[in-house]
Amino acid sequence: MNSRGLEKYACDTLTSAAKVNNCSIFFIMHLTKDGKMKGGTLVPHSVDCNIQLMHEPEMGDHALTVSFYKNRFGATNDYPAEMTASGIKFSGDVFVPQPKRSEKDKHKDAVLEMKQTITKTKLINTLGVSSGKAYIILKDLCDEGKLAKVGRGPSATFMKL
Amino acid sequence: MKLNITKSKGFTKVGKVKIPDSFYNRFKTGDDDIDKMFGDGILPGCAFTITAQAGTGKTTMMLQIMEALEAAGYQTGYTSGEEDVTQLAFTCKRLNIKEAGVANMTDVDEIADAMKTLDVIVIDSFQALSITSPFMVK
Repeated sequence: MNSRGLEKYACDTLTSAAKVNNCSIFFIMHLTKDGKMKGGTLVPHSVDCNIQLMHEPEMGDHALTVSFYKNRFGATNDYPAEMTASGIKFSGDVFVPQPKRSEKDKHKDAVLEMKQTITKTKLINTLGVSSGKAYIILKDLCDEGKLAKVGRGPSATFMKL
Repeated sequence: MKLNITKSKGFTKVGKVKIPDSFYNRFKTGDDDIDKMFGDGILPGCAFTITAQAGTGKTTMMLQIMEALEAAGYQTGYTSGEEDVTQLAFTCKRLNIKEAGVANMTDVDEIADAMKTLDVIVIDSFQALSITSPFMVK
């Protein structure tokens, strides 16, 4: 099944047999080393639905994602699943990827949650950050318009807006 | 409940095209999660591709779906060009799958013939298919 003509013959024969006999057909496809589908673009374009199964090492050793990236008669969503000893455990809930938050963003949230007056020394003590980092966090928040600086130098305080 | 693809001459107003009942009678596996993924069941006559890196679980996933469909009363077939029927049976024993139909067909015309009596068929894999049709082989 290397030649383009044979690929076309097989794809045409089987998809038309599927439509005539009302029989749904699933093609399991090989992948290349780059992670792309082997062969031409003929098969993924002629079928109605493309599904990719992906291993998600970040979310756990056995975590999978069932990704529908083309679906003519349904939704294109990602669904989480889990590989267990007795097979795959599916979940019908749509997988929503969480945006990654940096350490700096977490610190900014912690600063905004502080109840008393905010000073640079307090940041260094409570968050355990260096003096330079505390300065950058406070400056960023002032630039974003979330804090206002009162006073100058080390004794300056910051007020929430 | 066949689609009846007729090649009529000229164009037809799209509003006058009769939509077959099969579009509203999807193959339901009985497993809510699988049905939800496929959009309230698998559409009859629909073609799918499944891709994944080696060892991710393509065979497992398809065998499980076949088993669920068999349990719901549909005729299913899993034809493998990669593994022998005995090897598939060994995998199925581990996954507690008993009803799914397995075969070792790889010839395209033979598979197209077998599809006349089936509701869902899985081809493992497309690259393992062979053609013996006299029209195609020189």
